[in-house]
Amino acid sequence: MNEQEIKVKIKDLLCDRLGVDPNELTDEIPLFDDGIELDSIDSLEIIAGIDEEFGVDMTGVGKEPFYNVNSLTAYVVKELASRE
Amino acid sequence: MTDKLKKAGGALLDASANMLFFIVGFVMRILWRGRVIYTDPAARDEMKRGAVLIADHKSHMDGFFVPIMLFPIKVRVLITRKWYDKKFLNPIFRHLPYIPINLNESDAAWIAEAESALKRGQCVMIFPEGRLEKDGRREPFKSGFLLPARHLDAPVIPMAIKGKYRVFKIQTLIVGSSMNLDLHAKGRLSAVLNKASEECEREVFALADGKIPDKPRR
Repeated sequence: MNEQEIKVKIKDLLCDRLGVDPNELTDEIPLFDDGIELDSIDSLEIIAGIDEEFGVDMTGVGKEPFYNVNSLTAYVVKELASRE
Repeated sequence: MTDKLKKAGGALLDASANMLFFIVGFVMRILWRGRVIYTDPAARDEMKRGAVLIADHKSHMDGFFVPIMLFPIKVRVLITRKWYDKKFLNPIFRHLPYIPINLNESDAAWIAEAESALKRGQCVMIFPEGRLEKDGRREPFKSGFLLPARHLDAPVIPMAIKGKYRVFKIQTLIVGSSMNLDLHAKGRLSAVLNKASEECEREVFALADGKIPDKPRR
């Protein structure tokens, strides 16, 4: 799975499971605070979804990977690459 | 050989912990004259197939009391890492039906464990206030407890624990009706779950305040 495919899956996850408006969801918009305004429940669902979709456990990971779609994608790509 | 020994040791610890739990449960039942009141008999049938159980949280004893009172229904209880990881308690907790949760970080491992239990037809007991009520002050429910229910369409059953765990006084567990929640409503997940969580909060506190619905008991 390449980086673009991972990004698409992450966007689908955010829209389908968290109810984020796809028109609002760009690669750079912050997911929390002044951006999409997700909250702690959403972060749990993201962690559960990423684990389910990619087998990547994000429990206990700091805030940085959750900043936006790009940072989430980069984290997943890095984790998957480290297994190869 | 080492693996076999470890496995045998683990099984022995499991058996010992379960035996200890059984003995403590037996003593607790005698000391507190525990009883369970079902306001809706259908809830009991749902619990036999697996459900998310929620209750108010006034004492550390609650986590022992509920699974003991509901036996033989299998109940796994969510417990904070603060307690689960305590040096002298961890060896016991690890071999008993408790699911640890770290409230200080985004811990989703408990969700997978809770869902695995629900799929096996077990119940998962959660205290959605996330901490003990102190001086009668109730805490707002944290809506994360609804995630496993949403993922698996599992029933959510409210409960209230009445009594102060005084020796030879009656300690009661009131079991309400399964909640009618729309966890797949359109809109943002957090909004949907927060709304449902507020409904659950109202129901649990209504049960705790003694407003038992006028339904058959047994």
